[in-house]
Amino acid sequence: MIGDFVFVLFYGGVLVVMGIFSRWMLSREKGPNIDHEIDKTITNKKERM
Amino acid sequence: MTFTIGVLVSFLVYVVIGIIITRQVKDAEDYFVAGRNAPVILIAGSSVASLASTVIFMGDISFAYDGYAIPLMVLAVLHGSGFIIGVFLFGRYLRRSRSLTLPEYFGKRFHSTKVRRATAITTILGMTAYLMAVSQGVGLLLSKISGMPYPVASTIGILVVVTFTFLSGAKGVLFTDTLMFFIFITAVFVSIPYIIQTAGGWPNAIIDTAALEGNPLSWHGITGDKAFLGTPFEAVSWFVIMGVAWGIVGSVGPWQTSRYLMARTEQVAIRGSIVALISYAFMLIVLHFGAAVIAKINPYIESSDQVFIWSAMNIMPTWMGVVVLSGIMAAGLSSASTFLQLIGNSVTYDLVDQTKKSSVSLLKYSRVVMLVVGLVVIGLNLWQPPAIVWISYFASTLFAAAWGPMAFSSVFSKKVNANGAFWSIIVGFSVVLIGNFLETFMGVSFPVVVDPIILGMVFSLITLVLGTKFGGEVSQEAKAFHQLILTPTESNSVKEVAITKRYANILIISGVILSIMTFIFYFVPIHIL
Repeated sequence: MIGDFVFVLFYGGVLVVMGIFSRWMLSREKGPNIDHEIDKTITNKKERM
Repeated sequence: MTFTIGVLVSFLVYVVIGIIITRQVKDAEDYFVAGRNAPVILIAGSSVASLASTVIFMGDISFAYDGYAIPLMVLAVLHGSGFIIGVFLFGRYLRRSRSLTLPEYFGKRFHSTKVRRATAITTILGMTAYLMAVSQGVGLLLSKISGMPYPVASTIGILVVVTFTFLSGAKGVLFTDTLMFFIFITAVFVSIPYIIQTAGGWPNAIIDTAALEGNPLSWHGITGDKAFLGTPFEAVSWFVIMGVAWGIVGSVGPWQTSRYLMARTEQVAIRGSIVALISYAFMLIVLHFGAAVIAKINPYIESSDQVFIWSAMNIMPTWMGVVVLSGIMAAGLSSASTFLQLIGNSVTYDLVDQTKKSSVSLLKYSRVVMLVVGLVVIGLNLWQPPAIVWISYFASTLFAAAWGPMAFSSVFSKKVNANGAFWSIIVGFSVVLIGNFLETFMGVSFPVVVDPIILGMVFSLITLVLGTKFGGEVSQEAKAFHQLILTPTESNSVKEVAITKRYANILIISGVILSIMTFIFYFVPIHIL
């Protein structure tokens, strides 16, 4: 019974763990922040105007 | 006859799609990597379709029918986790490289033609053997459905694959793979509830199946006279260790990782992999429970790898049977087309220097090579050379050993050099070959913790370290390429990453839903009702 219950948790649990792992990896992103770059460009244009 | 017509119509559809897509293939980039423009759905569909072949719908579910459904699902979900591990620890960097093939990536990463050719040769050998295994499944299935002699059936099957693959390359393969994915996933979700209903409906089908001799729905699989994988502990250990090993296979295997080269961006590659794992996990749990329940309906099916086929032809309404048989066939053809495409690409592009060719002339040359490779595969499939047949039994596992340590270290290590990479491929490949030779022909039995695939990975890793130590400095070109792949791209903007994080949230929620569903549909009938 316990083994069967562990299986129930395990099968879905692997997906949960992979999801948490994915979020963690994505949180470590240090990519070029294009949105902020665009924001800066717009702000600079407005200031110049 | 109806089943044969249904399957042959599906063949025609794939060929027609291949012809239509040919017009969109303008240059080598379209042919090799689908123009590097594939959206999430094509990456996900092709990833699952390339992975799920006749091996899953015939080979694996024979384990479920024979009493090992639950431990098999443990292996399957660990295998599927390779989608996620692979994309984050290797695939996304591969996408940044903008290579046309995996051997090209390794060749540039280590600045070594030797490494490129070694990965190309392992790709060609391993994929040819795996393609033969899958083609055999396709041929057996078509022969069983139609009554055609096996040589004719398998030739027709491969000819269909060769036709749309050589015409439309990666673009066609991605599209047909995704179509095939929808066909076989529909087949599973439509037919398995029908099978369970035939077996008495829920919860009786589950209760009665669990009550069969040997308790086949227990967490450790069947026990008693019918158990063929040793004690419960041995059986579970085997499935868990193999699951982890297959997870590594899934992370670095070329049929999987080549999809990342085709994604529109690395974020699309990640999202596609997440969708792939979710759909794979849901599909397999339904399929394996269904296969286990068939044992309650008919425990006397002689060849347990024919269980799903038997069900389609004997239990289900004809229309459903046609969908299922087309689905199993689709699973085989989708994997076969991916393997053929990889073989053709490496033969064309990685064995001989092609840098002097323009993209358009490389496309023409690639098509010719792909056609020749396809005809050679047809010939091999008819001849069935024993050596290739033998390798086909473990072909996919070769990649975890030969490529695994090298693939991950190509991203995470600054020190690993061409010498280490080259010899780790050779040693990993050789250890798996020798280990399987000893098992098959000398009667040696390896404990699961030192299965040839595990030994191969360990020796490959040791060789990588030692080879690097005695291999001299890393070249400037290799360092520069390494820096290139470590540099995040525009697709890693805040907005794009936020979208991908939502996919990760869906993956977490899917896992919770799966556990709840498994508790309700499996645990409750057996232990609470």
